[in-house]
Amino acid sequence: MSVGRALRRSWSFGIGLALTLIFVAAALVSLVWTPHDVETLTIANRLKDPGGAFWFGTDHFGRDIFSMIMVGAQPSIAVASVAVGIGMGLGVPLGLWAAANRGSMLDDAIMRTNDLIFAFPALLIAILITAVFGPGAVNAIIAIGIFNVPVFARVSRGAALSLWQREFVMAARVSGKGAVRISAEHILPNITNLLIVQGTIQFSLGILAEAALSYVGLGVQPPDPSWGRMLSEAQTMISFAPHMAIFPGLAIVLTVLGLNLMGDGLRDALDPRIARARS
Amino acid sequence: MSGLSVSGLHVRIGAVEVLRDVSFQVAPGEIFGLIGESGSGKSMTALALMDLLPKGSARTGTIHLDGTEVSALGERDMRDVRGNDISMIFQEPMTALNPLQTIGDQVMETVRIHTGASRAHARARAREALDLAGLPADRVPLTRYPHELSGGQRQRVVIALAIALRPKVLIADEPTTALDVTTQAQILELLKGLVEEDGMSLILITHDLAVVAGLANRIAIMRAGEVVERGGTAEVFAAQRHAYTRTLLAASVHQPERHGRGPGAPVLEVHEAVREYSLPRRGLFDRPDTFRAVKGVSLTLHRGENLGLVGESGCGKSTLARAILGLEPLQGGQIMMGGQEVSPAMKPAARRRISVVFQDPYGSFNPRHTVGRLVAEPFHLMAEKPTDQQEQVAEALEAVGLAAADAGKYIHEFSGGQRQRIAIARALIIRPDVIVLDEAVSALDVRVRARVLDLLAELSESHALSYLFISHDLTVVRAITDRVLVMRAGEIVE
Amino acid sequence: MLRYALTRLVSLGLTLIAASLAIFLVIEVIPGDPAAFMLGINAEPEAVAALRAELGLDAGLIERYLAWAGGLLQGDFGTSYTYRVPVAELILERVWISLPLALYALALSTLIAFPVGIIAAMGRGSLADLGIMGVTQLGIAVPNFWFAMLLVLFFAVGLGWFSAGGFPGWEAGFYEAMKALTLPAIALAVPQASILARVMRSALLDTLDEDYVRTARAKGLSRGQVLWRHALRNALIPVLTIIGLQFSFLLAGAIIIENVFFLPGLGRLLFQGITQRDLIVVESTVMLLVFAVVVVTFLVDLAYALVDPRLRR
Repeated sequence: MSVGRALRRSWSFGIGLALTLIFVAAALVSLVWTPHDVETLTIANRLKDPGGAFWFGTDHFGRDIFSMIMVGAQPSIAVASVAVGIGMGLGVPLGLWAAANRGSMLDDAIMRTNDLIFAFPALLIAILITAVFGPGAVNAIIAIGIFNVPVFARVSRGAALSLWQREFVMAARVSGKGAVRISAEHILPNITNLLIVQGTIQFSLGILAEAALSYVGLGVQPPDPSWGRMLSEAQTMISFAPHMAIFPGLAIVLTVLGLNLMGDGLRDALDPRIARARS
Repeated sequence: MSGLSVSGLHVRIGAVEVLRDVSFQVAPGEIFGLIGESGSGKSMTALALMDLLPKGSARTGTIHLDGTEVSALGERDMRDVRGNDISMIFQEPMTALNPLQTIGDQVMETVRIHTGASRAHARARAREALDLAGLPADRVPLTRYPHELSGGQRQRVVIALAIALRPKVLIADEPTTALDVTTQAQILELLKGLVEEDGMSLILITHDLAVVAGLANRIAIMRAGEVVERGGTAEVFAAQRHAYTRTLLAASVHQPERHGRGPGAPVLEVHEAVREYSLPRRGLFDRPDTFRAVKGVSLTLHRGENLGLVGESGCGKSTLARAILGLEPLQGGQIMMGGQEVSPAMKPAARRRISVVFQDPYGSFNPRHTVGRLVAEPFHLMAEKPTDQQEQVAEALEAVGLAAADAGKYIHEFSGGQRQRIAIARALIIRPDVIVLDEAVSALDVRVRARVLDLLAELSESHALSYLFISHDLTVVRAITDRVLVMRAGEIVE
Repeated sequence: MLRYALTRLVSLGLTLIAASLAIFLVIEVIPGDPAAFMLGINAEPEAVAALRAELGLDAGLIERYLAWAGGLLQGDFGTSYTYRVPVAELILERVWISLPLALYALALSTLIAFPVGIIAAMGRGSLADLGIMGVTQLGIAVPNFWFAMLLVLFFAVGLGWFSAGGFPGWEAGFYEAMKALTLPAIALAVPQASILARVMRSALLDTLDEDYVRTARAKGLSRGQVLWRHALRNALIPVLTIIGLQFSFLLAGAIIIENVFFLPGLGRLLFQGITQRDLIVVESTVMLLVFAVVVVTFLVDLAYALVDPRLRR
């Protein structure tokens, strides 16, 4: 069974893809339109319950929560995706390089640096960087990206190391191919599946991380809306206006859930062991 | 009625019928050989006897052991039978034991589960069983962990825990296939001894006719889930009633035709090659130990000659092969090919003279490349890429018995034997002088192996190739080579 | 075993040194002049100069680093610029909230995850397994601070079983203190337990495919016996790795969740330090958190050797 068919039959992938696309669509649409304007503060409308004109209710400034969730999708998705891009773009070459030079000082150096970064609790690095360099979306991207680099480096190094032992790589070496060529022609294409799955995991972690940073005020700054900050604003009013906290939280949960389901579906569809069992 | 009696065994897994009407008897004290190639259903039969079939399997038919109808037992009662009346040992000794438990604990477990004996009593019986299996107390105490033992020793531990309670029947599924020649012989002797001493029945499952010929009283030959022939060993081999039996026997003694031409000039010379590598450091402050895998080996391969290199796993033959291929550096000695030195820094012009066929038909190829691209890979070594690459690829594929159109397919579309042919095509394509075949036919079934050996013999003559044929199986090597060298622990001994 | 422990200890030491260097560089070197950074752009030059003198910033980089590191080893964490008290004091007060909270959450997470993961693995493909996979899938996706808010809404505001926040201090008694930490610990533990349960399940399933399990069944063990006696211990190895990583996440999560529950822990200290640009506080708090993580990693490494005899040679 081909990968495509397997994906189409996987309900996990299907639901995950649908959820993810909903939020990506919300983010894109919100660039041009939202049901209500998120920038004007209308005190008259404050703290309205869900229903009627305001599908998810309003916040303490009278802003429509549904619209804010749509706009809030932008930084979540943007920050998470760029951070994954950084992680992959730097981490994968480093990991492949380390594996190709296994046992050398270079390999050691890369692994030690990885271990060093892992010694810091992930969010702590992000907090540190945004604290020192100032809060904001760009610094949040860099901070989360920095943590993604060793993750991808470790994953690609591990997979590459076992591939280097395989006989088809030895055959390529007998044919005179060098490490860079082999990494590009033989190793990389065979780890893409793994990287795709890891990418979706890191993406969903990125969304959670961005939310946490915004919650403590170190992420996207006002007036740009962000799900995390919506939650921090909702906190004091939770007992009488719970809708302010429930909906942004659900948005986070559903987006992350969607990505994880996609990742699971992808992993099952791409796993050669399961693939062989299917055919 | 005593002994094991199997009648009308059918097994179905999902929609597939894997065993069809399998019947045979094994008397007490008898060695019964169950022979077949991979996929013949012989292992399934064993699992069916133990009721250890995979989930979703359905079994019908009857199995009697000394009058009890074993096939009618529920799971709880069957557990009493397993390890106690009927035991089984499997093929892979390296992974058959729990790495986290001592061997003593693992053998004792068999005893304690079935008899509820005290620890002390169980320990005594475990010690007894290990002694019987050829692991004396002074060399192998009960406190050893599996990783501290060799493959052969681990298999003995597995045998010990299987016979600890003196079962009536021992099923041995390819017990020696993963072991080297000497250890194989020892383990088979051990099994034979246990049968003679205790009157235990032994069902020996294997694809290797040689193993069975010397040992089994009666045999059954299986193919595609059915028993095609059964009877006394000598009788079956002599009469060969069934067509399949005939092909199987013919293939296992097959010798390809070779017309010797006198050996020509040396094409590959190895002088006192030494290869060491450092082991991972045990502590931050230790100097790493070095392991000398190849200790001063010399050999010469002449044009038109095939040279065999035999040895057990771990003797260093694969390491030597990698050094000869210029994949690993030497720490001493020299390898010369056509006047030029072989080393990882070899120039492409020199590398052209040698190529390789590996053991694993599944791992030898990048699953994402087409066959054409895979076979053409060695062209990388040519300074000027030929303009007719496609034609050369087609020629090479046809030379190995495949079609030119196969170049567009992917490797998973081919069987094991066909993949080895493709590997041979890849090795041939740039007309090397020497091909190193590292266990190239070891993973193939008997009949497929015979055909591939034929192909190799033919090619060595038509293309004036010299082979360095490496294997742990002496019979295979003898069939295709002119001279044989034996390697042990890094040195040539014969 | 001893040699293994010593190796890991040396590794721990090296990591701490490297981490301290990294922290030092990020905080004291990269932003430029720490004194100017702390006082803000509108500060007067004399004030900046005075602060520089006070902090010894005119010394060379290496000297400053050694002075700081040396101080840390002796328990001198510097003096907070904002509060004018030794940072060590501030940290000591707060660490008794953050650390127990993280450990409490770790314990809860493990206690929940182990049985859940085992049940799922044993009943692979069954309704229980599917249900568990579904719930854990949801659990992973939940941000712990949001979950915390929901817990407060339901259990504190709604049912009144717990207070909505605050910490009475350990002097109020072990039970009262732990009660105050319970909702936060649950909020932290649930997502981590979801991850750990899935890891446990998958590690067990992988182990159940191994050859020695087949040998054990052939000996006559039941499926349950095989799981307890053979599979579980082998599955512990990857699970231990995750538990070690989890402590690091939990510590970071604790920092954030203190916000929801108004707990005066290290998180509060850190964020206040950040807002007030009190670099000394930030530096030392981060260093302490890293120290905690590295120590736990070391303990996990030791635990590996206890479980796996192959590492002990």
